[in-house]
This record gives sequence, structure tokens and C-alpha cells, in this order.
Amino acid sequence: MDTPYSIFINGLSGVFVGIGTLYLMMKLLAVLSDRWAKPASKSESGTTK
Amino acid sequence: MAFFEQLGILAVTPGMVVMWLIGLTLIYLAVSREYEPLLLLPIGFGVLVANLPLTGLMSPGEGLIWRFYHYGVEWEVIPPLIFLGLGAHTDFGPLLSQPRLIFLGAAAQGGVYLTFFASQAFGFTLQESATIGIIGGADGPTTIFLAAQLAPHLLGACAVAAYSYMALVPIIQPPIMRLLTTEQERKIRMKKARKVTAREKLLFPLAATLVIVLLVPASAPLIAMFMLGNLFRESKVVERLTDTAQNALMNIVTIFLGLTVGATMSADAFLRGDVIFIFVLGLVAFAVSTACGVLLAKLMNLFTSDKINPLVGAAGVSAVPMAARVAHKMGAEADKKNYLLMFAMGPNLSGVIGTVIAAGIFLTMLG
Amino acid sequence: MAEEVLAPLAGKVLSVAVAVGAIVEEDDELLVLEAMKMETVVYAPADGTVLAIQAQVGHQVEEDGPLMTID
Repeated sequence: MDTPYSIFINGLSGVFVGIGTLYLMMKLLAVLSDRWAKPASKSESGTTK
Repeated sequence: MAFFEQLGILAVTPGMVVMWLIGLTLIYLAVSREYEPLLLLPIGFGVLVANLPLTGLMSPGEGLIWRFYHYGVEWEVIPPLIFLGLGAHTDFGPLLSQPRLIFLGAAAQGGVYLTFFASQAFGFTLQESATIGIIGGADGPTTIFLAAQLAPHLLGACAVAAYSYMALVPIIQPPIMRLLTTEQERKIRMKKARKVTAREKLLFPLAATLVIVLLVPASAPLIAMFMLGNLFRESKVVERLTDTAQNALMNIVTIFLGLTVGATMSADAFLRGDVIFIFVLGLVAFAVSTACGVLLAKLMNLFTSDKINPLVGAAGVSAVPMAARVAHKMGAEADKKNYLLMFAMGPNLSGVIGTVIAAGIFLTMLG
Repeated sequence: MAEEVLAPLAGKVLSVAVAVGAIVEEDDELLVLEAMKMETVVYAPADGTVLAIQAQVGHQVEEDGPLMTID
């Protein structure tokens, strides 16, 4: 686990996996937030993205 | 007679004089040119004072500044506290309103890894290379955090490189951004994305802490403090704490951080051939990170009809908010009614997180 | 048709370049906002006469907050 290559690959992919998971979490938050807002407003809550 | 034997001036070496000049230059840059004065001023002074002979200021176990350094930096207390303050200042709204921009912050870590690779090809150890690479993350506290654990002898040089280049972002980035984008692309107007609720902004730091720490536990000291600060801010119920974290605490820790980082730069630690390499590689790291951010934005544009202005990709280099300002200014040059600042804050903030994750992974594998 | 000029980003109003009743052309400078320690100029979206100015110098505005109404 110690060669520069493995650290490079692990590192870069680790960053993308971490950020990717955060991305999914943020999307989830957005969906939940829209759902919680719905009962309060009758108007269209807008399309995502 | 004893007094004359202990005269400091008799023990001055040429190396020390060189360091005085460097310290004074940093102070000049801070005061006259206003380059990152909050850090470069105390750092410059620390350099000056640590290179005065016979003071015992950096004497292990007893020196005043050594104590600040040991308990604040070696014990990894100060960088996390800075992150507490940063989190309290941060508004994740721009990022939450357009989540896909988070990947631009990830891409900007490309410079970190490429520089890591280049550094070890030049003969630096893996730990040293990681510390040099992380300069490309454009994040002072993270650089210091990593250096203190992996390569403390390079801490001063890497920190000064990081802060200097952060101040120079308006000079370093534009040529690269111009080179990699067409006039057309720079004119892209981005659509206003969804409104973010207060509840989302409150839940985000909690969820983010869970996600990141479960994936990269080594990043916990920085991420947990960052998100705690953010939680203070978004909860809106601890204004006193938020205010302290944003102001008093930040200021206190910044003072200690600057002074101690400067004081690590003694003549024998700093005046080595390595240091030139560090400054060159650090610059490369910044440049490559800028390029990676811009290029990923262009790549993403191939797959979406809602185009991203590639300039905001450069803001993935997490010099907050300088890189976002640079992106905005370049966008305004192409089209004066294009307001990219808020869009650019998304990648800017995700770059901070990305750099911390990168540091955490380096620590996990090399610590 | 009156058109609302909205704030393109959140910030503090530094200065207002026109007065109520002024005739402006598209792309004329209307006011200056400060955000992230940077000055941003807000330009007129269309030709017209300034009907009302909601922005007050020294006050914070939110993103999409009303700045001016132009006819």
C-alpha cells in the first residue's frame, strides 16, 4: 500500500468517493426539504436541478 | 564581562541575516501590498524573531514560542480551531442550491495528487511529497495540519508557499483560465438554482460530518470542527458562540498560528535547496488544480444542457473567497452582466472539504 | 410594463447611480453592491424610466431582493 501509484489512485478516488457521497446526501436533503415544504405551499415547488 | 559575552549581535550568522530579510519581505508584502496580512504579518515577524541568536524562544521544552508551537501546532490544536471559525463564517447555501458543483472542488484536488507524484519523483519522501502536494489545496490550516504530522521540518516553507500563492491567486489563475476556455464559454450564464431552506442548511453540517468522518476518520479533527462552527451559525440559537467562533476565537488562533509558523523557519530549516523545489512545486500544484477544476466543468458540460461556466471550476482551488472573486471578475470581463460570484462559491467551499478529505487520506496511508 | 431590477447576489448597497425619474438605457450602471469584499455593478436590464428605488445605501439586500423598478 506504499507505492506512490497506490497512494495517488487511492487518494484521488477517495476524494471523489467522499465528495460523491456528499453529493448524494445533498440531493437527498434537497428532496426531503421539498417534500417537507409541500404541505405548506400549494404552488409548484419548482423542478430540481 | 559576562554581559559582553552574551551579546546577541556577536552570534549572528549570515544565514540569520538572510532570514531577517525574508521576514522583513513578508512583513512588507503584508503591510504595503496587503498580501494575506492576517497571516503573513505574524509569520514574517516570527521568522525575524526566531532568527535572533541566543533568545531561547524556540528552545525545546522551554522557549515561549516553542510552547505556542508545541501545544498549538504539534498537538494539532490550532488548525482545527481555525476551521471552527471558518465553519462559523461559511454559508453553504450556494453549494446546496446546485449540488453538482461539488465535483469541481473534488477535481481541483488533482493538483494535489499530481504534485505529490512529481515531488516524490524529485526525491522527496512520500510524507514530504504529500505535504508539498497539499499546498495545491490552497488551504493554510490543512497544510499546517498535515505538515505537523507528516513533515514538520517542511512546515514553515509549505505554509508560507501556501499563503503566498493564495494571495497571488488573482495573478496565477487568470492566464490558465483564459488558456483553457473560449470566449463563448466564459460568457455562459448559469441558471439560478433552487432556493435552499434554513432547515437544509442546518442539517447539512450534521449529515456532512457523519458522511465524511465515517469515510475518512483521519479528517475528523478538521471536518468536525468545521461543521460544528457551521452548525453554530445555522442553528441561529447560539449567536454568542457563533460570534466568538467567527471573531475573537479566529483572531486569537490566527495570532498564534502566524507567529509559530514563522518561528519554525530558522535559517538551517529554511535555507536548503529543497525549499526552492517546494515553492516551484507549490506553484505547479496551484496551476494544475486550477486547470483540473476548469476541465471538469467543461467535461460536465458535455453531459448536460444546463451549462456550467467553466470559470467557476477554477474556484475549486479553495482560496476562499479569492478564487470565487477571480472567477466572477473574469466572467464579468466577458459579459458585464454575468454574476458568477455566488455560483463560484459552490466549488470554492467544496474545495475546502475536498482538500481536507485529501489530507485525511494522506494521513491514513502515510501517518 | 414595469420591470423589477433584482439583486443578482446578496450584498450591501454601496452607492446608487440614478435617481427616481431618471431615464436609463439598457446596460447603464444603476448601483453598486458589495459582496465578499468585492464591488459588483448592477446594470439596467432594459431601457426605461426609474419609477422607484427600493435599495438603500448601507443596507443589506438578499439575492433576488428588489432594487429598483423601471418602466
